[in-house]
Amino acid sequence: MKVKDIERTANVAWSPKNQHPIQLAAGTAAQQLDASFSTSAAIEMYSLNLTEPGPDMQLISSQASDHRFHKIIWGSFGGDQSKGTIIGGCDGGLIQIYSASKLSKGEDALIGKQEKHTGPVHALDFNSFQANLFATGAGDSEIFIWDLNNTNTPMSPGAKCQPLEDILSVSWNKQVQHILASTFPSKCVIWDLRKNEPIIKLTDTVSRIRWKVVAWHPEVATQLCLASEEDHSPIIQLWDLRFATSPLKTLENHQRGVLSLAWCADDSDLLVSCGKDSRILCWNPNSNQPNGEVLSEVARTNQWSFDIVWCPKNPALIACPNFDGHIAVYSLMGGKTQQFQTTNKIADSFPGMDGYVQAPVPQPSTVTVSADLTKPPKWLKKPVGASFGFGGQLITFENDKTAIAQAVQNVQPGEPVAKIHRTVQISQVITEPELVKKSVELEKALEYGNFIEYCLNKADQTDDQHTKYIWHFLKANFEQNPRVELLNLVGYRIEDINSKLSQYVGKELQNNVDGLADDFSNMNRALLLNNVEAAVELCLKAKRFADALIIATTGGPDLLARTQHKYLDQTEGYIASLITAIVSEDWGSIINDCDISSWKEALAAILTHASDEDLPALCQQLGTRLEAESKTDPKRAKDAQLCYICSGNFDKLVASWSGDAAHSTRDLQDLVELVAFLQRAVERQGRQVQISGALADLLSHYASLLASQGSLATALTYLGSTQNEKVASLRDRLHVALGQKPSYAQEIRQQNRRSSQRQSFSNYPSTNAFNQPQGQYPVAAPQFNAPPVVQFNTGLPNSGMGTQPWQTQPGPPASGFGQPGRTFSPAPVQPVAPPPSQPPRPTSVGSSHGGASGLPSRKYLLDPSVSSNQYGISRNPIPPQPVSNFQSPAYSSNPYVPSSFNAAPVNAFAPNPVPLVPNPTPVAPNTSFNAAPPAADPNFQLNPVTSMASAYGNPAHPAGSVGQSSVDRANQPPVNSFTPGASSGWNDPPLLSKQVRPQVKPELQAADPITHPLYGAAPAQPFPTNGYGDMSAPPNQPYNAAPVYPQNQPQMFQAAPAAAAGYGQPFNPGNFNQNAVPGMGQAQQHVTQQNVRPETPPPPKPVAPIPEEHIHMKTVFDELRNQCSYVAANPQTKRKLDDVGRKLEMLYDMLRENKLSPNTLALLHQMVQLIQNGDYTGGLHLHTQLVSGSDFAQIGCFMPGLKVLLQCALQLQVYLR
Amino acid sequence: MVSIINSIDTGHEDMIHDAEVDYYGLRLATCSSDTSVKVYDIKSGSSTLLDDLKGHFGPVWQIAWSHPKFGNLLASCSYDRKVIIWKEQQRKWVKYYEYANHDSSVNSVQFAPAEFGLMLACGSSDGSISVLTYNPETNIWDAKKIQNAHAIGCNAVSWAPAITPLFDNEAEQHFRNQEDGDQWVEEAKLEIHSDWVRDVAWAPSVGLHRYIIASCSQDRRVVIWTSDDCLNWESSFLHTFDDVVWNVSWSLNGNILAVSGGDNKITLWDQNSEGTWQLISDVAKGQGQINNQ
Repeated sequence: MKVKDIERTANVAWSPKNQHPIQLAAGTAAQQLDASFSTSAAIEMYSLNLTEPGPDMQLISSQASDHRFHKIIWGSFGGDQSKGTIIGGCDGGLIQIYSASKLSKGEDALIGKQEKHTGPVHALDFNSFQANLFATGAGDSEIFIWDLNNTNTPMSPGAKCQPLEDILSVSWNKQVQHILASTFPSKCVIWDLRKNEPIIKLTDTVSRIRWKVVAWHPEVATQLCLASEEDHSPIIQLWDLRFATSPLKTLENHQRGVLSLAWCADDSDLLVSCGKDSRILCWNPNSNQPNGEVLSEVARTNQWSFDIVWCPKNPALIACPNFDGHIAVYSLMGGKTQQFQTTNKIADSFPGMDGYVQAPVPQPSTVTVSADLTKPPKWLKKPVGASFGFGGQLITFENDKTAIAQAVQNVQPGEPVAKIHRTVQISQVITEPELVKKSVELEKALEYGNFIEYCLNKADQTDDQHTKYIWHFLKANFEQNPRVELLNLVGYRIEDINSKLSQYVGKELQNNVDGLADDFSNMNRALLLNNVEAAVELCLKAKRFADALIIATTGGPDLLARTQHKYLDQTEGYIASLITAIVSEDWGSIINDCDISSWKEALAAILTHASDEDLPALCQQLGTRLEAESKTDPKRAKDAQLCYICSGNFDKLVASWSGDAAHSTRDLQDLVELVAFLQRAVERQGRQVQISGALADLLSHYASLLASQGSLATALTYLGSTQNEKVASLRDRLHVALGQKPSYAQEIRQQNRRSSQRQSFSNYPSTNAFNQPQGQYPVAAPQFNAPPVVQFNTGLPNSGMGTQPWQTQPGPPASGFGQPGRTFSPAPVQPVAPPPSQPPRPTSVGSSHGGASGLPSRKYLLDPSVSSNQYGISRNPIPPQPVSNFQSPAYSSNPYVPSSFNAAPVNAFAPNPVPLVPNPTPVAPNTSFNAAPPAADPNFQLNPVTSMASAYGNPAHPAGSVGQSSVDRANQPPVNSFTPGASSGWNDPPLLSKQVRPQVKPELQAADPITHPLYGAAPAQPFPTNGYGDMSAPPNQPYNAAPVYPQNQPQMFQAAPAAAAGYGQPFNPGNFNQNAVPGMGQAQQHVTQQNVRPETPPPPKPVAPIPEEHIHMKTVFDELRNQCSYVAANPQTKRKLDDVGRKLEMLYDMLRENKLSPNTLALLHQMVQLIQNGDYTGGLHLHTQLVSGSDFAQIGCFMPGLKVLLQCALQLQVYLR
Repeated sequence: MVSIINSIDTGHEDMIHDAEVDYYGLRLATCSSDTSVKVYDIKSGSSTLLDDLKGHFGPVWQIAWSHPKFGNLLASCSYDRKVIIWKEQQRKWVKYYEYANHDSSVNSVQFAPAEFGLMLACGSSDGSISVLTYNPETNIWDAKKIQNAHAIGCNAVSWAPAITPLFDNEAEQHFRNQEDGDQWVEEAKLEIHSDWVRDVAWAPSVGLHRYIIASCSQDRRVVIWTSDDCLNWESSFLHTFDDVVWNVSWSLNGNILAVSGGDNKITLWDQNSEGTWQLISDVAKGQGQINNQ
């Protein structure tokens, strides 16, 4: 692309590499005439002026010359300001030496002239190692080496070559400073200046060649290119002096003789040449293509370009003087060629010749669109780089030159270059280790809740009085009685003051003897007449304020207020206003009016008197006032901060912070610590903390700083749940970066999918409940909170498994007895979402007990908290449901009911579900139970017990009064076999007391929905993991509820507690209790019984929920398996499917732990898709693909299960919907 | 402290020219002279090749991730004069839009700050800069070309955090602002470098009402430009390095500058409390240590 143009026919030279900006020198070309036949000559200097659009180059200066130039060169040596020296070669053996700096200033720049040569001086070159040396060549084979320091005595490189010829070019080697090449029309001679003789002569005997120009390889010392100007062989040859018998390569593309060439110093793969075919070509001389590789035809001009010069500074530029009277500067970087008007000077000079003129100036046909190189030049190739990523990641890469060099060096001929490992490194940058450390400490402190200690520490650490104060104030907020502490800090120790006061109080009493005033009689009269108002009036007049007030108290609040008002009107001073405030509760005025220096007193006053609601506002008001005063007294600003701490006003505190939190990370850390603690304090006081405004800014700044140090998780904790856009986006980013959330794009997709999934699968409460207990059954949840129960449950199932640490929990044993639970499970579900839960339930029960039973448990929980009295009301709707469920075929068909019954025994006796089989008997009791609770007797319960564990020999059970001891006996044997701890926990009184703890909690929690999440923690997990667990597990859970129940009951029904405590174990503690409490009245019992039932169901709580995006997977697999097992006729298949269930659990576990690779997950989702489409064959293919993938080790444990599942589905022709 | 947490053998067959992680730091894209763009999943220290994008026919110089709200687009520019925008679909990337209206190598692509919508600036050796704007209503990419922004090519483009994208090329930096009539107007030209400006980078603004640009050059120098109004700029030399400086990159908070030199040295700089720039770490093969603490 032509970028610049000068209307001159001149030889050119670029300014040296070290010079900026780039300039171009132009010396009028010899042997050229313009239309005016002028023979004048000039040397001119132009500025490249690349920043200006348009083709013009700015002429800096011009100096006339007596001689025209055959060649000019520009070296960096000499002249002031290191502008360097320009040398021109002229006719008659003359060389002219110019100072570039003088030339640029317009001064007489000609500083030297030598006429040692004969003939025209065509050849000139500066030595690139010693800038003061240059070589010249002219007629008669004469070459001189000049030293700019002394141009009078040039040296000769050796004897002249014979025959005598014109020397057309000279060139210094680019690697070895004493090697010089020179071209004669017939040969190229290389000189070694140390030896003062030619060391090699290159001639091509094969082709008829006239050498014109030589150019050394910029990097390889022994290689050079020669250009032939012979039209019959317009070639460029690449020679290597080590193999000097023939050229290495011949570049053939010019159609007529080559006039000049130049090798790029910055990229040895680039060589440009111009020829008499009016073309400028760019070659890759190192390419192995036959005849050379033309990278680009840089330009096609109207006339010959007689020289070509590469810009040393900007390798993308070349300058080409052309015989058409222009010097063009081309960019090799392509782009659209701008058409410059080639005004024809000659035509202009011959007015009237217009007609002829057209001929010699053929217009180029069209614009060449672009002429960039087919191969990118080296200088575009960024070899190294670094960029930052979120979370303080630094991504770096580099071009390991040594590795590449080695690889290239070791390459064996005929083999490809060894693979070079091009790596990208990801590093963690931590620039604020201190901050990270402190934030960790802070987080710990916050987590463990040892606030007071931390505050004290902080206060002790600092020397700054104000900081000490601040931390003490904060500490006060965490004390039992913050106000007292704060008062202390303000200087009012209550005990001290009280004791002082008491000294006075006694004395004052004596002063009360006062003579009766004259108007006493009037007063007396008024009082006697009960004219209270008049009496008050009289007293006031007599300034007997005390009397007035006392009297007024009898006259009603109205009068009292008026009296007070009047009194206060008449008194003055601080005390009065204080009293005013106390009486009128108008503290605002105190704050506004008090002397600012006594702000502590004001603060003390409001701390003492203001109500909880008003206190923050008042403190804030005081703080604001102090801050306003701080203009006159800077110390007040600090006091204001203390007030803000008292008020818990974050915005103000942050805004008034004196430190430079925006810049200094230390200040920032201090402030954040402060705020974090204050936040805790405020929350402790039961107030909500609104993160907004300055606080939000502060925290998000802090969080982003932490994030930039790589502490993503910590950063997240400071962001709270504000909706502030900035905070939200940072939070989102952190979530995603931590992998806790799919990224934005994915999220959208997944939401879509999820919603559809919900529609289709909402019927399966089990799965839903499992994964999102809260979301699905929000109603149920809040109502039935019983966290303690939950804890029990977890323990129990575990114990059943024997794998988990249930022993540690005393509670579990008790819960173990709560078997009755299974009954409930149906019940709870119904209230929540009856329609969906019912139908699928059977299947879900089979597949994952945890889920199904989990729901019920919540409801159950409710009961205890609700208290027995309320049962009737809340429960009534429920009981019928459970019963029906119970008896429903689905249930009965499943061993579900029995299992639950047996649960306790099962656990005790043998973890195996097998015991279930005998259970049928228990079932019967249950049903009967439900049907007719009143009828139920202790005996009743006995039945199950005996049936289950007649071995116990616990017939005694039935009697509620029997109490724990009997129960113990009965239960213990089994329990013991199981785990001693458990048994004791449940039976022993002391253990009971332990249970009390949980019970207490439920009450609290009943009101508090927050406890809910607790569920999520435990239940679900154990079940699924138990291969067998489904049946036995749930019963256990229900049980848990039972202990709670009895405990509550005791208060209500005396008999009940005993029964409950003792009995718990039998299947239906509830029933039992009722039975045991006959005295209480059947109806009531009945109610309770019903209540109990619903309560028992075990809560499901996934330890770590399956990530939302994968829930779908679980839903589909489970559903398919369930349907298959429904259809499956033979036990073998059923067994297979059971096994599948176990394998699926492994899959789910891996999902929960996020162990699977993204690739695997993607394929699994794809498989789910196929399953939904009923394309099992496709699924099996996918399976094969997965198994043969690289992740097999990881997925091997569950993949066979999927395969069996797919095969079964295919075989049984089971399709989802 | 700079510690390597992951080293990924990209398998590129030629020089790597750029490596960028996405908005969340979960994905890494690299581009190379072997004409390919590769995308890796680097979540929690892994490095799984997600896709190997072949669509260019020349070296790929630079890549850029869009804000995820636009769907995690990846833009790449190449010596083949094309800009390709890739869109993720099922963890694979497909060609979403191809822009081939430059006449020469496209050297730099940068997405505008998300606040401006989906916009992409491309700087080319043909001297022009294109600004591609996606119109979500018509689903069309609209291209505005600033001709002759830089006579012989633009090496790097960088968007200002506010509203002003910046471009640069040889020994000068132009900085353009969108003003009336949707015209891009050169706002300021920063001239101090004595050779090619290899890279420029606006510092992300974090609460400070101050604009900072870092530029690096073939002349081995890195210059920090500061301005309060985007019109008058003050310059200060960060340092003169031993080799050509190819790349400058700000940390997300704008407080650390990474400088990459042709001698494969990557250094980190920050500003001390007096406002002077100091070297805090050499990232020599990632074994750097903060040396001022």
